[in-house]
Order: sequence, then C-alpha cells, then structure tokens
Amino acid sequence: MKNYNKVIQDIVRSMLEAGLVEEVVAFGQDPASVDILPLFITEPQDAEKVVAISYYPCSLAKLVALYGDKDKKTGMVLRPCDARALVELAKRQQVNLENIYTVGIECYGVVKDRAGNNEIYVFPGDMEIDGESKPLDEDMLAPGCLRCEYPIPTMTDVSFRLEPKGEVSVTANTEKGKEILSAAKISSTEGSPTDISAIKERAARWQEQDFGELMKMEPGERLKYWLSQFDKCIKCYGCRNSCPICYCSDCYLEPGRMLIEGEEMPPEKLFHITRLMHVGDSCVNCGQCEAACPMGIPVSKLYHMLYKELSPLFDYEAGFDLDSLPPVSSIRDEDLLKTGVELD
Amino acid sequence: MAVEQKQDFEPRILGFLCNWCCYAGADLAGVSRFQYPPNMRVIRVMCSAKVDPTYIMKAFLSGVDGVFIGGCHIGDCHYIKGNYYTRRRIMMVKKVLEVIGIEPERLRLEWVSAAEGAIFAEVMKEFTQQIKELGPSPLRKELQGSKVAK
Amino acid sequence: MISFVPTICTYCGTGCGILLIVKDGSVVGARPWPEHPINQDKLCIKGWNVDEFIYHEDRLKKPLVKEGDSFKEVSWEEALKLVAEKLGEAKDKSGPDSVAFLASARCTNEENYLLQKLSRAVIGTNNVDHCARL
Repeated sequence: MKNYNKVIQDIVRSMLEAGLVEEVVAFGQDPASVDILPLFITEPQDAEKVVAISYYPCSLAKLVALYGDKDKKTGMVLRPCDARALVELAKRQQVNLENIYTVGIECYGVVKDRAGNNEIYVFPGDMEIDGESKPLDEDMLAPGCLRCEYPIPTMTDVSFRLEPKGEVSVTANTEKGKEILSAAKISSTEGSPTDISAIKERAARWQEQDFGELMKMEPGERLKYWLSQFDKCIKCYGCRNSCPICYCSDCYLEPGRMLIEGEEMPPEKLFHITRLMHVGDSCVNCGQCEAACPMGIPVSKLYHMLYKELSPLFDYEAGFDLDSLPPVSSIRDEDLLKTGVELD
Repeated sequence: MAVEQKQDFEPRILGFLCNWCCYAGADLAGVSRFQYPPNMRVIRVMCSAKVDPTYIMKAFLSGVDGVFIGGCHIGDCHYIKGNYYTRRRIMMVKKVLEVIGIEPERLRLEWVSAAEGAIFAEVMKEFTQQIKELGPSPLRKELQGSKVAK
Repeated sequence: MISFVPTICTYCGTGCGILLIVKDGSVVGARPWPEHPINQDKLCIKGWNVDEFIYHEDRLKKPLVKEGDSFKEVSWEEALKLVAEKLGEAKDKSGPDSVAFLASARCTNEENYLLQKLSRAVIGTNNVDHCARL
C-alpha cells in the first residue's frame, strides 16, 4: 500500500538534518505498536514514525507550552485548530513563535476513535479506511470538527494537503516555510487551493443545528438543560487540563482560590460557568474538552457557542492575528471614543 | 393572574457601586431625600473593574433576582482605565447569561457620577420595576435549602 | 528530552491507561493514554494527578525502626532481619491469620503483586488489602 505519510516524514527528517530545529513535535505511530501517541522527535531516523492519520487525541500546542523550552528551536506538525491555539498561546506569552516552525495539515475532520482500524484519512467528500474508499460517515467525526469552518492552516509556515490516493500538495506561507521546503528539497506546489465551500456549508449546517436548537429554547428551558448537564460533572478537571487556552499556572479553579471553600468539592455549576467566562472569548473549537469529559457533557458546544456570540460583538477572531489581543482583557483605541455602556 | 403574582414579589437586587462616583452618587441621592425602592443591597468596591464575573454568577446562583454595577463615566475613572475593562467584561457576562439561559436584562451596568443623585434614584426605580416584570430568578428553585447553588 | 511513557494507573481497580510525561529523566505530568480501550482518552481526577506522589517529600527514603515514640534510621540488612524475625514469630505463636498486610495505591501494580504473594504464599494468610478500598 502506498505510504501516505512519506512526504510529511521527509519534511520532518530534513528539518532535523538541516539543523533548522532541535526537535519536532508531532503525532507518531511506532511501527511495532498500533497506538498513535504524541512524540518529541530529536533523531532524524525517528521521523519515519510521523503520521498524518485523521486522529488527533490531544493538543500539541498545549504540550509545547507546558513542557517545551522557549529557547529551543522546535518544529510542529499541527492541524488548523491546534495552530490557532498556538497563536492564542503566543498572545499570552506561553510560547515563542519565533523559535517554532509549523507544518499545518489541511484538515476536514478527525475521527473520535479509530475503532480498530489502522489508517483513516478524512477528505472533503469521502474517507479512506485502510486503503478502501468509503463515503464520509459524519457520525465518526469528532463533534467540534463538524462545526469547523477553518480547514486550511493559513497561519502555519507550511500548508500540507493530503489528497485521495496519496497525492500531496505543499505550500510555503512564510519565509520560515520556504526554509523548511528548501531543506526538504520540495518545491511549493502551484495550483488552486482546495474548494472548501462544501466544508463551510457543512459547518454552517452543524452550527445552525447545534446552536440554533439551543437558542430557540425559552431561557428557562435552556437553563434547565445546562444545569442538568453540569450536574453530571465529576470534577475530574479533564476539560481544564486538555484545553490549550487554559494556561494559568495558578488556576482560579484550584483549591486555595476563591471558588472552592476549604476542603469542599468544587461546585459543578460555578466551575463550568467560571471557566466559560475566562476562556470563552478565545475558544478555537478544538474539541479536546469534550473528548476528555468522562460524563459526556457537551462542553465544546457551549464554549464554541459563546465564542460565536462574542466574536462579532468584539470584532475578534481567535487564532489568526498575533497582534489582536483577547478582547475581554485588552482595550482598543476606539474604546476611548465611546461613552456608553456598550461598544457600539 | 401570573402578572399579578409577579408584581407581588419583592425583587432582591445586589449592587456593586464604585467608591468614587457611583457610591457617592447614591449617597447624594440619600442626602437629598430622593425616594427609590429599597430592594438593592449595596457592596462598595473601589472600582467597577474590581467586580469579578464570578461574583456576578455567584450572586445569581445565590438566588438574587438582579445585579447592578455602577461605575464612573467613561474618561472619568479614578484609576484611569478601569471602566473600559468593566464595559467589555459586562458585555461578555451578558452574553454568557444569554447562552446559559438567564435573562441578560437581569444584569445592568450604569455610569453614574458623584453629582448625579437624581439620576441614580431614577435608574434604581427603573431597574427595580424591570426586575419585577421579569419575575423571580429561575435559579431560586436550584437552591434547595443551601445558600449558594453548587 | 521529552518522552511519553504508557503505563497503567496505580489507584483503583479500573486500570486506566496513562501516559507519563518524562522530561530529562523525571516525571513532570500525566495525560490519558489516547487509545487505551478502558478509558479512551479520559481520566478521573486521581488519574490526572497520578504523578504527584512520585517525588513527594513525605516518602520514606531510608528504613526506619520504631524506638519508643520516635524512629531510628537503620540499615537494610538490620531492618529486613527484624521484619523476618517478627513475622515468623507472629506466624508461629498465633497462626498466619494474626498478620495482615496493607498494600498501597502509591506503589506500582507489580510491587502490590509481590506483597500479596508474600502474604499468601510465604505467610499463608488472605489478610491482604489495599488503601484504595478504604
């Protein structure tokens, strides 16, 4: 079977061999085992473990922010949601983007779990499971992916597109991207970008379905729904631990801060509402919170819904422009000219 | 029948008034004997930007029917920039309330200066009437005997 | 050098898969093992903090023997000799069921296996329990 991952492995190997970076962070599969795990690769020969399979179990941006070295030149192989999370972390001084070389994989969705299959690749209209082409099964995709409207990683140094039958298309978006491609001796593919109208239409349809259904409810009904969801919470802190935007080392939700009195249990409702207020203005819809919840609370739906409400209000898009700071914790010059209690 | 019931209930409103402008304005209203409904309990904060969104949510989860934040006028904040942050923060909290399913009209932000005693009394009358019409907070049922719904 | 080492949680009987995050030779964090069939990329709060006890300052570093109200530091040989002596004495005088063994959720699963083997095969009692049951 054709090696769909050869080009991405070549890029990672040459980034290390050329000395552009000291380590590369990517999802990899040990040829011996079947598991896909995050890897911090320092040896060029380990690059053969890197895969572009449509399965993304944790946020690599968060791992680099927590455990990486800000002074080390690091390469990353990311999907667009994680790349946007990386930009958001850079705005909060948690990563140094100058030392990071990013390769973004164009993404049309990842699966919730591989269900025993090995290689699953999701394309705009269909899927390839272990070499066999099948129609796209929306049930297999993670819920956040269905609502996602940003399949192309425009904010990374290199955009990498995998097409059916293993064809590959690579573009450099920045100067660093050109360095990466020349080290790998790959030339930028000229050609039209993917037609993402089908993806945008799917995103609009699922957003209308997920959010519209909730906003159509009467306030009392919606409140009852969310309070019953929050009641399921076992306070495992999985959502907070997986969220790439949650970066505070002295987290408000920990004991010893205001939320938890003494040795009590964290309060279910206030825990989620507080986290929503802290993170909601910059949610990138990566879906890691919902994937980490053992009780199946639709956390990602709530946060993404708030982000979609706040984004037009503050004229803010999370994860693209490094100079556009999070809206609730920063003031813009135009604010000074408005005297009312709202920003219009 | 339902409207009459709503008019009978006395709303419980929590107010966070900034020390330099709004609290002084409320004081002036009192000294000048301007009448307004007694439904608000006041907490004096040094600046409206001190109000953590979690205080507001904890207030609603304790069963209060309305929350009022009073700050200095734009450009007149005693700490220069505080009320710009307050404005953005309260816009965000109003959206959170809407998304969760609590009427965003239960949260009110007003700029009241230290000389505006009459305006303070008017705002209080208006807000209390608005809360009366909205009715008791939907979170009162969640309390089940404890002081704060957990 | 950062690596992710897959292992099994030591706390309860569910046996969730954990990835220990090892940086420059010491454990700095824990994440769920994404494709482990038991927990499927989710963990409870104890699992998320399973690395907390590894380097905890309250851990014993040397064998200690109680003398009166305080503890005295001794060598491994002396400690093991004392333990074997006292266990043998209790078994001979009052029977094997007069002794009980308490394992710990903060030892590895393999060490707990050895303890119950000691209890059942060497001393001959079923009185072995584990702090996660309390």
